Amino acid sequence: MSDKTDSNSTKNIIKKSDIILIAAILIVAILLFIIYRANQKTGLSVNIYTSGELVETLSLDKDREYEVDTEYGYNKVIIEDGSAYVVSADCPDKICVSHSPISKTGETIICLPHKLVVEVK
Amino acid sequence: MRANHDKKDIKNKPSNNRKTALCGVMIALAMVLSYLESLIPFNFAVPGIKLGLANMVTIIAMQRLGVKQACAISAGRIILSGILFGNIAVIIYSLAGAALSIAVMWLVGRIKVFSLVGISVCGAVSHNLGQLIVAALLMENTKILYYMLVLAITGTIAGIVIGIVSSIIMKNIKFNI
Repeated sequence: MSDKTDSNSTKNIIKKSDIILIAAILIVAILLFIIYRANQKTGLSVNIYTSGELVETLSLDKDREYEVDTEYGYNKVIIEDGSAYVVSADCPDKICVSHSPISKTGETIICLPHKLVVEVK
Repeated sequence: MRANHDKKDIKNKPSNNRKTALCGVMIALAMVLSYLESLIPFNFAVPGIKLGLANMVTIIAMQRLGVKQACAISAGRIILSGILFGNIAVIIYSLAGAALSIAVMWLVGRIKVFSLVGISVCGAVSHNLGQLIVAALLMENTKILYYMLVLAITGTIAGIVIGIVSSIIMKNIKFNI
């Protein structure tokens, strides 16, 4: 991060107030994250929403595929070994496909362009 | 070059010619940086994690040219790269993030407590927050706001890096306006 030949000026770049700010944000975020993770339980089912409306509830016990085909586009949700993930989509960014599998309550996979939300219950 | 022409309509007072030209150049630079960043495959567990290279241009523009120019550069960059490489959804999310980010960075900059690093961190975190709020509104699902817990951490780290690089650039490059 810092420039070795210019270590003095690098020191001046960061003020004490910056370090306090950074530490405060990190501590609050990490604490909340730990609390959030600690309260998560293994989910029983996943809800699939499109445009904010519940379209399907799938049990996580049973392996299966579910295809979501709406006016916005196509996604295929896979349930396998108690977790859910999106395996293919015709959206441009494929963020939902690269999302790691979800299995804990409250975890979600979202596909913004298709207004799809997969949420573990 | 198109960016240059577009910007001329916004400010065409002769005394501002240099500023206007610089705005155009900086839009071009910001577009190149956001394109470069899109080439880096960031496929982590949570969407929205990114370095925010283009934010360097916004920060420097805000410091050296002013908040109006920073807004114009940011909006110009997002709309032009959105039309060229993205889609309307990308433009909406980016504009929301950028709007909140610039507003927060401007306010934080005014209180003169933090250096560029602190300003950059605030900008990065509020950019993520702005995008998530719009996503939550459009998806009608507030659960996705939990992503903020992860994004606050990654955004802070990205903000530190971008803030330090911006400071080094500011120290070493002279702007003649």
